[in-house]
This record gives sequence, C-alpha cells and structure tokens, in this order.
Amino acid sequence: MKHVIYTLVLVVFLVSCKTEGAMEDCTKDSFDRGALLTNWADNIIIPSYDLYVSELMDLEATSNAFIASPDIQKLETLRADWLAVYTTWQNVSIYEIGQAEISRLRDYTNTYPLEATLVESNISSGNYNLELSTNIAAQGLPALDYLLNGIAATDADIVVKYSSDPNATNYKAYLSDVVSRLKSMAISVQTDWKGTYRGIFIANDCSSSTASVDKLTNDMIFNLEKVTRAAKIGIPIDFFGQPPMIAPEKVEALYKQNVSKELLIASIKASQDLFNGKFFNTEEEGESLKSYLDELQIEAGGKLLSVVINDRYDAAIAQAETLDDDFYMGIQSDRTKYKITRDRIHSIIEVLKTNMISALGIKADYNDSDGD
Amino acid sequence: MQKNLIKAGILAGMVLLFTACKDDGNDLGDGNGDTGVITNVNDIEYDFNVPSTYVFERNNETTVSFSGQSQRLAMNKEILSYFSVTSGKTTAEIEAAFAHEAGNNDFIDAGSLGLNASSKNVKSKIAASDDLFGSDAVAKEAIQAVFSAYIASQVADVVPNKDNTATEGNAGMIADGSSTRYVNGKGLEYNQAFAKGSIGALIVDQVLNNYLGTTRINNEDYISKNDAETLEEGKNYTKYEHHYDEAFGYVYGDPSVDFESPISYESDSFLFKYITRVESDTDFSGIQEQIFKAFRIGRAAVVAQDYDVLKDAVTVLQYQISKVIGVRAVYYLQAGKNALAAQDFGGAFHDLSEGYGFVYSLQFTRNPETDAPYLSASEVNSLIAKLEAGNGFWDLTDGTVLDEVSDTISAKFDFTTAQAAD
Repeated sequence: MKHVIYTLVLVVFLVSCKTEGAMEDCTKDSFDRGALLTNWADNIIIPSYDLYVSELMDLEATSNAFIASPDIQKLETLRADWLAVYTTWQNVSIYEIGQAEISRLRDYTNTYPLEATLVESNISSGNYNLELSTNIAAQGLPALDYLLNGIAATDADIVVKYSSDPNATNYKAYLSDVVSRLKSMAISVQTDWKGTYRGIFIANDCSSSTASVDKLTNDMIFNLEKVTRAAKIGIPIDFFGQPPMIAPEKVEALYKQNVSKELLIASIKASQDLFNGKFFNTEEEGESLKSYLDELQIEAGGKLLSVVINDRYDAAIAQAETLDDDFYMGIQSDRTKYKITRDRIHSIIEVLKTNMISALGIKADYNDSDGD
Repeated sequence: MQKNLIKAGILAGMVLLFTACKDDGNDLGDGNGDTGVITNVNDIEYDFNVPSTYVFERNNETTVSFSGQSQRLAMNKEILSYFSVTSGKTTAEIEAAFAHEAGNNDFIDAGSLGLNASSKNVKSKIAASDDLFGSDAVAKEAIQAVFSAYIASQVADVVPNKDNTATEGNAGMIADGSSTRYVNGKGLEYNQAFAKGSIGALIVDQVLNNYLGTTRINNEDYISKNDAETLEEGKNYTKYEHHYDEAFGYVYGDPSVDFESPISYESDSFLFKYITRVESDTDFSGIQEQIFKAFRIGRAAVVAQDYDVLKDAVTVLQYQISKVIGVRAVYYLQAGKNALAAQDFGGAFHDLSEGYGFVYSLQFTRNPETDAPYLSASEVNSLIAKLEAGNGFWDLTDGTVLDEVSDTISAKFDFTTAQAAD
C-alpha cells in the first residue's frame, strides 16, 4: 500500500515537472479545436484535394488526347489545364501532413528550378524511375512547364517533338509518366483523407507539438516562409546576396514565363484563406485561427491581432499585384519591387511566428538561424 | 498509523516536488537581502580563476570577438551625426543608414570597421531581444517605428526651422550657453531622444534581454556545445562564448575603448559613457567595476562551464546596468528642473531631451527579482506622455511633473531621487 502511494506521489511529481518537448498531455482551453479541425478538413483541405484531383484527371485526358494526335490547339488546351492544376496546387502545397508528408508530395510535385538536362537525359535513355528521389527535380509541375513550354522555341516546334521527332515516342511517354505520377500521388493522399485520416486528424485535438492544430499551423507558416517567400521571390532575387546575384532562371513556371505572379498571389491567398477558415471556393468562413484568436480576444498594438494579420496579408497581395506577370524579365528590370513584396510577406510571417503562435500556445517546430 | 505514513509520504513527495520544480533561473543566491538574487559582484562565489582583464584565450589565441557590435555602435554614431541640421541628409538617406543593407554606401565609413560592406544594421536590433520581443513582432515594429519617426520628424519639422527661434509649439533653435540646440515644438531634441533611447532599445535590450537573456542562457544546444568545447566553424570560440562576448561588445565595443581594461569611455557615446558618469556620482561609486567584474566573472564561468556562477554574474549585470539607466533618467530630469528654475531653457531642454531618452530606455531594463523591466512599456509611455503633455518641456517650469516622474522612477529602484540628482 505504501509503495503504491509513493509511486503515486512520484507520478504526480513527474507530471508536474515535465517540460515542453517532453511527452505532453492533452491540455485544452475554451476553444473547440475539434470544430476548427473539422472545418479545416471538411471545408478546406478535402475540397482542395477534390478539385486538385479532378483537374489532374482533366489534365490527363487532354494529355492523352495530345499524345494521340499532337497539334497546337491541343497543346493550348493542355497548357490551360496545367495552369489550373498549378493554381489549385498552391492551396494543396500547404497541407504537408499525413500521407502528403509521408510521400513528400510537395517535393515531388513542385521542386524547381527543374533539372532540364536530367529530363532530357531521362527522355533520351527512356530509362528512369520517377519514384526515386534523385528524380525529384525532373518531374512534377515544373517538368510539365518544360515539356509544354520549354522544349522548343515555337509552338510548332514543340508539337514536332511529340510527332516527327526521332525521340517523339519517348517525349510522349515522359509527358504521360509525369502526369500519371502527379495524379497517382494526389489520389493516394485524397483517398487517405477520405478514408481514415480525416478522423485521425480531427481526433488529435490537443495542444501539443504533435497535435493537428499545432502541426498544420506550422505547415501553414512554413509554406508561407519557404515556399511562398523564399522560393517564389527570395531565391530568384537573391535577397540575402551581398551583392545580390539575381537568378531569374529560378522563378516558378520559368518556361511559361507569364504566370509567376498569379501563382504567387494564389499562394498568399491560400494562406490567408486558411487563416480565416474560408471555405474552399466559397466565401463562407468557419472556425479558424482567426476565430480562435478572436475568441481569446488577442490584441497587438491596440488592434485585434486577427485584424493586424489580415491587414498584412492584404498589403502583401496589393504589393504582389504591382509585379510583372513574368518574373523572369521583371526581376531583371526592377528588383526593388520584388524585394518589397518579399518584405511584405515576411511581415506576415513575423507576426504569425511570434504574436500568433505564442497567443495560441503553439510551438514553432522549425527555426531560422539566429542572425549573427 | 498506515494513514499517517501515507500522509507523511505525500508530504515528503510534495516537498520534493516543490524543491525539484523550483525555477533554476535565479537560485543559489547567498546573503544579499532576502530575495536570494545576487546584485553585488563581491557576493559571487566561484572556484575558478577570473582574469583581471577581459582576456580569454584558447591555444594562445583570443576567443573574444564582437566586431558586429562595434559596427553597430559606429553606425549608430554616424546615424546620429546625420541628425545635424547642416548634414543635408534626407529622411530616406538617414532611414537607409538606420536599416542599412550590405553594400550600400550609407556611411562615411572612416576607419577599418567596414560599415558599408557590413550585413549588420541598427534598426533590426532595436527592441529585438528574444526574451522581451520574441513573441511580439508588433511591439518590436512599433518601437522601431518610433526611432524612424525621430528621423523623419527631425528632417521634416526641425531642419526647415533651424534659423527660427524655438517658441512654445514651434520648432527651432534655442541657445544653451555657447551651444545651439535644435528642438521640436515641445522642446525635444530628436537626436537626444534617438541616442539615449537607443541605449535602452538597442544596447540594454540586446545585452540583458537577448544575449544574457533566459532564452539564450538556458539554450540546451548552446550549453551542450559549450560543454563539449565545440567551436563555431572557422572560429576560436563556442557559440555560448560568442554570445556572451556580443553582450560585452555592446557595452565596451566602441573601437576607441580599451576593452581589456576599460577605464575611460574615450569616444564612446552610449552605455559605457554613462556607466562612467554614474560612477562619478559618489552615491554610486564602484558601479563601473561592479559591471566590468561581473562581465569577467561571467565570461570565466562560461569557460569553466559553471552556469550557476554565470547566472549570478548575469543578475549582477541586470541590476547594475538597469540602475545606470534609472539613475541617468532621474539625473537629467532633475538637472532640467533646476535649469528651468534658472530660466535657462536651452540648457533645460537639452537635459530634458537626454532624460526623455533615458526614460524611454527604462522599458528595456531587467529586474533580476522579477525578470521583467523595472518599468513596463505602458508605465514608460505614461511617463513620456506626462513630459510631452501640452507644449511639452515648455510647460514643465514649476518642476512638479518632473519631480513626480523622477520619484516614480526612483521608487522602482533602490536609490532616491536626491541620490541620482547630483
């Protein structure tokens, strides 16, 4: 009996003294995290995957039609379908959780700059495995960008690659394989969400570093920082360079050349919509980080923090609107306005990573290096 | 019987629990008042050698480096020179120097510090400590904006009126003995607000709340690397050593200062200068050695991997450095009061402008007993509002408000207004 009591006391002691990072218990506040997670899953994430997958199916159909009898008109249709997929992808990119995280969906879907020489050598050999990580930079949406826009100088010459070129069969096969892989990866994540993962995601409604709210919030911030801010602008303009050595060949959708801006804006909006709990493709809003902050009445600088955050998203989008459709040319002619846009995005991240996550008791699961 | 045993067991467990869970930030105090926090450097007990100068070596080469701090102090000095009404600088030019980016020719850049090439700047380190601002970017940006506003207002309001005599509500010049001061409509010199405010927002905040703050000092990764003497790539120091030296460098990093045994402030115009000024008030003599010795003990403790002694040195630094800010705030407010009583408006406004900056700096101090600033940001803002009410310094002639503000400050510390005033 005594031993039992002592053990009990010891347990109390251990529980009371444990620190963040150690095994955490399920602490909750007044906010209904389950409702938040349900809104994210049912009204935002799963509908995003549904549209993304259905657009990939359209893309596959037009791709098959193009492969069957290549011509310029079908090439144009194929490009339009590709752009629709690429735009929806900007939402899907954020949700690197569950099966998406396991299969590294983001890396395999949108790693750029593309290694065009690797693509060409894969095509000429006809011997490649897109499931290998060594081929990450030779597939996905950037590979399609190249295959549909970059493999020859004119539309007519591009069509030639898929018709009378000696390697036409291999070009067709590669196009088909890249599309298939995009589709199959997306479907496996979608299927998982619609099967068991939705329940797992929603049930994990604690406050801890591995809980769903904490994890997806970190994913959202990470995506805005690394995918939106750094990859789309910071790296091409060599933000930290002393002196900067701009790298226009590192912009997103390099070969299409006139859609970088709309992809950037779609990416910022996707982040803002998730913050606001806005339903995918409708204007309705549900439980969200915003409503969570408002429920806790969190303020910063005399305003509701959610207002501060939305103001910053709006300012970033407004600045992004001033950019050129074609970043490849744009950053070579006026780097400054890109830098300002990058700073506007950074100012969103600053307040998300400091005021917001501390107010919500969320711990950042990744860190920048600390300056000097 | 059984019940009593159980109770005793629970009680013992509770005692154990409280003992074991005690915050390990500021413990191990020995005999300095009843708080357990050491504030006098001579109360620190240690069993390793502490050098009499700030010289620390590994393999016969120095491990001390704070070039980034020397650069920032030099940048700040040059930015302040741009406040001169004859500098001809635009707001954009001064702001660009404040938020300098590597490679831009924002500075005259005399000497060998390489300011223009440097990736460092002043603005990004204003109100940027991990401990105070790590979870509030909005507050950080608001304070940075205050400093940018000093720049903009100087160029927009004061420079155009440099040949007019300042009057209540109107910016202009005002004589102070043989000097001429340039003030805004409330009597404030923006360069003093910037200079003395940055002693708190840049220097004290980085020293006490960042490099010697809880977040850094308790960082397990840094500690384990220091324990293993893992050196930073291409360097002769551990990260922990370097962070400590960066704190030191903000105080003694002006290139003119003999940092190994700093006695005279030479051409420093920031914190170290005012440490020596407080030292010269007999009520506070010894404070200069308190601070320098605490820095040496703490640094030796880092080398000896004795983090308890390090924390004792840190509480001394928190207490003594914060006190410098408190004393100088009260000193200048009282000096201003006396000058106003003597109808010396120019001299009074200069003193009050310095005081204004030191008052602003109080929100970056750190009380070792609470780990919070001696005065909170909102307390500071309400004191600033009192100084700026109506026509500002012009309205302070009867001294009541200045005494009230002075007493509010000294009550937060363990000195009196009278002790600080002389």
